[in-house]
Amino acid sequence: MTVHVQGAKFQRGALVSEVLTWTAIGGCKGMTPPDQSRGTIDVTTIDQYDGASPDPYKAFEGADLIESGNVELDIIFDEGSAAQELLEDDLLVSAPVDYRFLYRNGDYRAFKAIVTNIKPTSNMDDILRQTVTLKVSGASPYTRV
Amino acid sequence: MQASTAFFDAVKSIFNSRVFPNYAPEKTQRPFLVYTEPSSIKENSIDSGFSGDSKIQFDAYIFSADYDEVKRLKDDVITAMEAQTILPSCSVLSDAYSFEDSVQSHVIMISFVIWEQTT
Repeated sequence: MTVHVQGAKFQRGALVSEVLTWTAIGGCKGMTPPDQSRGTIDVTTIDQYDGASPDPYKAFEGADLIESGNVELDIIFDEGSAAQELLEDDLLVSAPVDYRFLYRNGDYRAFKAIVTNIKPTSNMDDILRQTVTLKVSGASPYTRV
Repeated sequence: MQASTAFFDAVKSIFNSRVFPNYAPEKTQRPFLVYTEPSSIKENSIDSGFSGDSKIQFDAYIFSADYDEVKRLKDDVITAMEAQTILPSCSVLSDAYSFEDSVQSHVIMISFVIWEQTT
């Protein structure tokens, strides 16, 4: 089943009376969810190319650790948006914050992340926009409902 | 406010209110202005849909019996639109001259890019 992007929401989680409560940060024109990448270890040996029938291909093993990468948001800047201001507040704290992408079918991808960059852009004949980058800490599982 | 409403308010005094959308009535006294809005690009977001902001291509055609007058009116319209504060943004892109045989008029078309907020 395909999942359509239009109608998806980027949300920030905060504990309210010990319940994780989600606030939508509106105005997203582009959402890049976390990627997942595993590093590799080169295990090619010096003697591999030696002998009567040498193997010319390098050998690798997967590293133990997986990185969830970055999240990027292209946002229409809204000077009256308290929700967008939350991202600016998050830039000031070092501890990862709860976020999630909530799709229209109810599925979501939740993760913890640190806001690392907020880059405003103001081009000719355009409205103010900003690109927000978040570094994901830990896993970012996609949950089907 | 609609871009067309703001445009009319900004330039009507230059043309003694002879400012019309799309076409002018027959035998309208010159000079007069006709404007069109050939396209409008809507600003949408993934989460909220249409934001209420539209980027409009806005073309104004000035008709005059006199060449010097049509050039002066072109400058007056550009000055009026640059000075207006009702619309959030208005930029002049280009202008182009022609002579319209059918109405024996000097015509200058001015193209604007106008941002309109309707909601």
